[in-house]
Amino acid sequence: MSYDLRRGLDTLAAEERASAEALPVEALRTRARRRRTARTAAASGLAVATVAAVAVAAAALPVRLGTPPAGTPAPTTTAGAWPSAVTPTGPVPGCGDVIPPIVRPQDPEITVEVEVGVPPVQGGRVNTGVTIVSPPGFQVAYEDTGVVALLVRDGVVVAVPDAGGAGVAYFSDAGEMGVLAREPRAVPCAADDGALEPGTYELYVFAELLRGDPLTLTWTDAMTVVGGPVPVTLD
Amino acid sequence: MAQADRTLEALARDRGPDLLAYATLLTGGDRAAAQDLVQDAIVKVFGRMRAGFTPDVAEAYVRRTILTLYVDGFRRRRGWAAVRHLVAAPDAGPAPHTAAEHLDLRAALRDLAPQERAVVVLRFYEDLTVPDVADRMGLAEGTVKRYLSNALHRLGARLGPVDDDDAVGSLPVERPSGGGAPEGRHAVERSGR
Repeated sequence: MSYDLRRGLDTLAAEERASAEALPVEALRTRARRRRTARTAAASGLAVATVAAVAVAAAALPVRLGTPPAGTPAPTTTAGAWPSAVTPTGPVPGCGDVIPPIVRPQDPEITVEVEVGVPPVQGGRVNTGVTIVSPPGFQVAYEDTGVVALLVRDGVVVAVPDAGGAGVAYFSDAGEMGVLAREPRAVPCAADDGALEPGTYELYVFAELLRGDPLTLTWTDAMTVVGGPVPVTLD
Repeated sequence: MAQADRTLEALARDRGPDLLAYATLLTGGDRAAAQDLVQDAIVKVFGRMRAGFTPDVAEAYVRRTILTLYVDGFRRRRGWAAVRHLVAAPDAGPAPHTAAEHLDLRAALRDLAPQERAVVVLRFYEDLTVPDVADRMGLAEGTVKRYLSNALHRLGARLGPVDDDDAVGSLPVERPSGGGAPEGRHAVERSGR
């Protein structure tokens, strides 16, 4: 008796449908709007050179850091100094840490744009969109686990993303804007019941950018950039 | 673009699970990658959407875009695939054909090359004809048939004989003699492109 592949695939798909996570509608709306805006601006000649954006196209692959295997081509992209960017003077802070001083050059070439949705936190997830913009031709990559959204109060981190994340890599593809595909889950540092107190917070995004060879996903160096702070009010 | 937002919401809410299931089959069970594919496809479609899109029409566009992104993705990461192939763990051999056969199918799909998995999903899940599969993937029909032949051979090794009815069509398909060659040829093809 032969295996019925159609039935097998239908069964598998039914299982996946039953266990599928809901799509983040608000984040998708935000991303689509931004894309429409960018396209409209470009079409009407309003695109500004400094926003000639770079992109972050999904390539669901694990990122490897380190020495390329023997026989792989040498990295071909973007050697030399990094473009100017907003950077922290210390490591990415964790729960209870003070946000380190941020270096903000005039007209940075790499920017991390942070948008907060309404409501800002929903179901424990920070309802935010993140866009990493860098100059045309500069290939930059990031892992989703390397992009961290932090809720801060009085300069101190009070909520951090959970440890989830698949180590998915995204790499640049000139001509489009990149936006994080996932919404980080905010885990309060102190509250026992997992709830954040009502009040005013600031949202920072720390992103570790990588560069190297996108074909072999071998990265030669990294730089941490910062987006925010964006005010967030929780009711 | 309030209409676009409403259509997006309806699509994501009502058809999201179907789109994710489709994408998960394409990615060989990688749900995180499937989420990314679906989300990126929706953004791409709705980022250039014109007025008058209904959820049904939008879904058709999104499904096509999911495939396009997937195909572009594996073409883009061929270098990585070639390297990964060299370091992959040895095959554990055919899985037993038990009542949990869908688990075997999941593993068997994961073992296919991305192109092979895509043609299998389009042919047997989306029920497209071979010419339609070729059109969707931008491949020659002969290439699609070769991928199908290889895929069915590999699936058969895990699942037992696969009911492939007219999957490969009537054109001659280059089959290895003795039934044992696809591994070697497959490896050369994957690492050679």
